[in-house]
Amino acid sequence: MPVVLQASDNQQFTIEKAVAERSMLLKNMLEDVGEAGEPIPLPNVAGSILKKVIEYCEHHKEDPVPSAEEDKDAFESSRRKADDIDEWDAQFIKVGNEELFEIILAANYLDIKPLLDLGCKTVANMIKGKTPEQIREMFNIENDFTPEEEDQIRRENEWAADA
Amino acid sequence: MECLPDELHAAILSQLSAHDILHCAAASRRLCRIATDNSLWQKVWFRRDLSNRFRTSSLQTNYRQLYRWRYSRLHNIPRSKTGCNDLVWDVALDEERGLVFAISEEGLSFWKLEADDQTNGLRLHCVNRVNSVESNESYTEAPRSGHRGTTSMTRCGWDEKELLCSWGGHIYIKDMESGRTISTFSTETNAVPSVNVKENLIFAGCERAMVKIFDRRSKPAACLASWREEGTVLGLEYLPSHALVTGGRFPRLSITDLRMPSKLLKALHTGMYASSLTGSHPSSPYTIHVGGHRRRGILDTWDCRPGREAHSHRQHTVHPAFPSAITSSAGDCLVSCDWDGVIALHYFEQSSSSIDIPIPITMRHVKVNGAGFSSARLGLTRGIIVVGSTEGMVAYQLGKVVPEGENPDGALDMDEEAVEPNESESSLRLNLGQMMRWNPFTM
Repeated sequence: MPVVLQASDNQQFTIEKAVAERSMLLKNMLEDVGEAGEPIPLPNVAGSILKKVIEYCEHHKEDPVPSAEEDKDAFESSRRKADDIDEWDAQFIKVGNEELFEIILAANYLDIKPLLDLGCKTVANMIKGKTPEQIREMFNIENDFTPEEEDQIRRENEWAADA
Repeated sequence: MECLPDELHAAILSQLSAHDILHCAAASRRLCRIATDNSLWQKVWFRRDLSNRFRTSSLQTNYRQLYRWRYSRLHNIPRSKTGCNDLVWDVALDEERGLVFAISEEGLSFWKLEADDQTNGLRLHCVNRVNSVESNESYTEAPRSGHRGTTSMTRCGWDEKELLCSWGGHIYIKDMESGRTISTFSTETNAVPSVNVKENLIFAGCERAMVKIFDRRSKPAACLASWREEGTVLGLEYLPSHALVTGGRFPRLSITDLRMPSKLLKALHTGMYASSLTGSHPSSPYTIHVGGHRRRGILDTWDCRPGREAHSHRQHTVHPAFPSAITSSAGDCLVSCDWDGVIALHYFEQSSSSIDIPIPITMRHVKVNGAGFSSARLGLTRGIIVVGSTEGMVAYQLGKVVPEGENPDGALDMDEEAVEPNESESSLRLNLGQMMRWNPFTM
């Protein structure tokens, strides 16, 4: 039985149930309300982003679902290396910054842990080795420190510099 | 990136090294708040420790600080050669003001931590030396080795701007900056191996196994109470239940009610001599750590909560090569050192339900230059260790953290136990003459 998803801009996508169930949010909804055939509204996800998310879920539909216990283990997930990204995923996530953050938000909302991890790892890889100035420039972050605060932070964090 | 909620920022930062996290902290106020959050550093700490050996607990552990203490390189802080080149009995540290104090055979010396432009680190500069102490208009010379002038010092005063130290048989409260004597207390003995202070009460462990209490406000200075122990008292710690724990050259800890000092409240039989006592994690004021010896350097942790029948404890060998351990604590960390030139750094872990007190777990065991360590102090914020030794005062500063995948000197990893130094080497290193001059066990 196919599942219909409706994005915030009213675009509709018809997908297999196995693909929808990569999202824990959708899996729980389908279990709770049954397969009514009505479109499932996703007001927090734009059509273009939902399309990307579906592409990811279709590619990974055969993957084993992470166990609940593994999900609960925050330490375990933090140990997975940031550079441990497979080739298809690396190509898939090659998008602009804005789209990348939209994918992360959608993965978080739809509760798709592997996609959320992939997004976070990708951003982490972009940050690696960058100076604070480069990080600000890359993500368009405003420097809201006073010069005194900036100097203090630099001194407090010297111990980890150039490791 | 600013469209992401805090928890997703934290998820991203948890994938990064300490170095990169702190670069993020310097990017904006919001990132700074997220990048310094303790739960993030808890993840970073556990990710690096693949063995789970150093998994901690419900204690309010500052993981960022702990990470720095475990994974940073340790560098010697150079100092001017003025003074403090011989036997140093005790040291004190005022980290906030960047001041270090040392009491040695040459007298009391005052040092300032200054930025060293050549090394981008710190250096110690001697700013004041007091070779004699005025007392009732006469002068008492600095104690010489023949006087068995074992002594100690600690910071005191409402803003901790004063220094409490003992010298010969006298206790002095001195101004930290000028060295001027503010008050003098005579113990009517020849040596005071241990002093401590709680608000206006001064506790002194004196020669001839005497414990004396003074009120710093009383004029003329008068002893409020005194009692005799089984041996020389080498450590005193105040308990919030108005009690005093004493330990030293006798195989027990004594808990005395300060409202009834003639009566021993409780004797905890340790079976070892204590060379030093220190309080514990700030959340557990009734836990006392005892540095002592029983063939090997031992850290003994005692639960001194009132009303406890068992007073359970845990014993931990921290200095296998030398049969003694001198210990001192600050915040989340505890340091111990020995006569073989080994400094061990420990953090506190909440022990199992059978003994629900913070126990020290060794995370580093570093062999450094020098030997005959007699006292040590930690400065947590700036990452400083100051040590008194038979060869003078030595100081170390935590440097840069080493990259992931590497361990700094002395960091324990996986199932590794504390290093076992070569015993024949360690015995060669000892200067027995100096040891006899200082070692409180020979008193």
